[in-house]
Amino acid sequence: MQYSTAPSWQEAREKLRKWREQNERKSDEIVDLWMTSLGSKVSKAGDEKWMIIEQVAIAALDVHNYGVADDLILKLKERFPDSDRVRFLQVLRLQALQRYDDALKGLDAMIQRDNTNSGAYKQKVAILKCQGKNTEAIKELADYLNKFMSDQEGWSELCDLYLAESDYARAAFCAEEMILHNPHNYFVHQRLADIRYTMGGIENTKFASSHYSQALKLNPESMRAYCGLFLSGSSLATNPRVPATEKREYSQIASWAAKEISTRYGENQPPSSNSAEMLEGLFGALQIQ
Amino acid sequence: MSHAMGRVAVVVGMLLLCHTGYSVSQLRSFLRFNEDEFTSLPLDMMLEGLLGVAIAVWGAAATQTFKEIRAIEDIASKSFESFLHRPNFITFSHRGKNLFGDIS
Repeated sequence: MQYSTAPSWQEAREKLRKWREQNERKSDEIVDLWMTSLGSKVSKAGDEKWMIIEQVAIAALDVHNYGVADDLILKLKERFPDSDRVRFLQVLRLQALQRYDDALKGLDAMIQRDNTNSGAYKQKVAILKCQGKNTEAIKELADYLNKFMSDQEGWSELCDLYLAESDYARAAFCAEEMILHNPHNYFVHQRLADIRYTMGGIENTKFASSHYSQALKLNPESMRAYCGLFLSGSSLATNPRVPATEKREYSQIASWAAKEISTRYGENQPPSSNSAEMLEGLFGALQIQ
Repeated sequence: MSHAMGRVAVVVGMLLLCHTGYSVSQLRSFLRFNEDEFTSLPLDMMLEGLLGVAIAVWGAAATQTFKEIRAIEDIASKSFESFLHRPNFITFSHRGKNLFGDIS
């Protein structure tokens, strides 16, 4: 993303700080900001300077801009010659260059030196994932989670790995762990509901329907949850093995969800478009018998 | 209303409160010395204490904006991508190399 007028270095610093705190991966924008505004003036940032340099180094590796990345890693190494964090950055650099064996050797050395270094275990899993060795990555990550049970990122990653292997039952277990950690986050409820709906069957679809409802209670703006509620409600309403009372209830849920979806799409459309009719047509196509 | 004024108000309020406490303890030791009973606080000390509390609370609360208590305001403004991004499991084997990398 190119900026038409380069932002001042303070604005750039604010943006970087916000992205650092909110875990955003806007790597090309970070490198852009570095090249235009922040690079020459970073020494004015005081203590934050080194965190900014680390953040830009990782972003540079993400866009494979090795000029910037090598330069910054060298700066960090000069300032902190004996730091594990800098060694970690060097391992990341090896990973970006696809020298996976060297990267794994580096991580093993770090683990031997300090076996409470959770970052090293996690990056090992990431490297195995990069190489496509999903089953080994799952094994490593399961071992790691046995030791560090409350690591939310780890559970989230394990959920993704199981989904990649289509092991929905275990992925649902991981998603449930994430709900235990974050019951107020609508996203984790939505995730679990998606997985349960994919697994299929009456019990799972009912489960999915209740979790979609919870996601909507927490965030009434979530379109995915509305669509999910519509799908699960209509699938239960048309299922022959569901008793009639529950069928009525689920078809009411489905029609409520459909109405909400239409109103929300309607609000965001320009007045002249004919998308309302298009949407009705799509709802018909969305019914899964 | 500025943060500085709020901070000053908190300090002033706390000082008033400390002063009240000190006066009350002095009063009690004086009464004990005269072997008088301690019936109730004199009105001016009570007012001073309440005033101190009021000023400190105003300074802390009225001069800043509080964060919304429901977690949803925070979470609803985040993008989907930021939920799925796990920086400790970052992988670099994506199309970024061809999209953003050096053309060399």
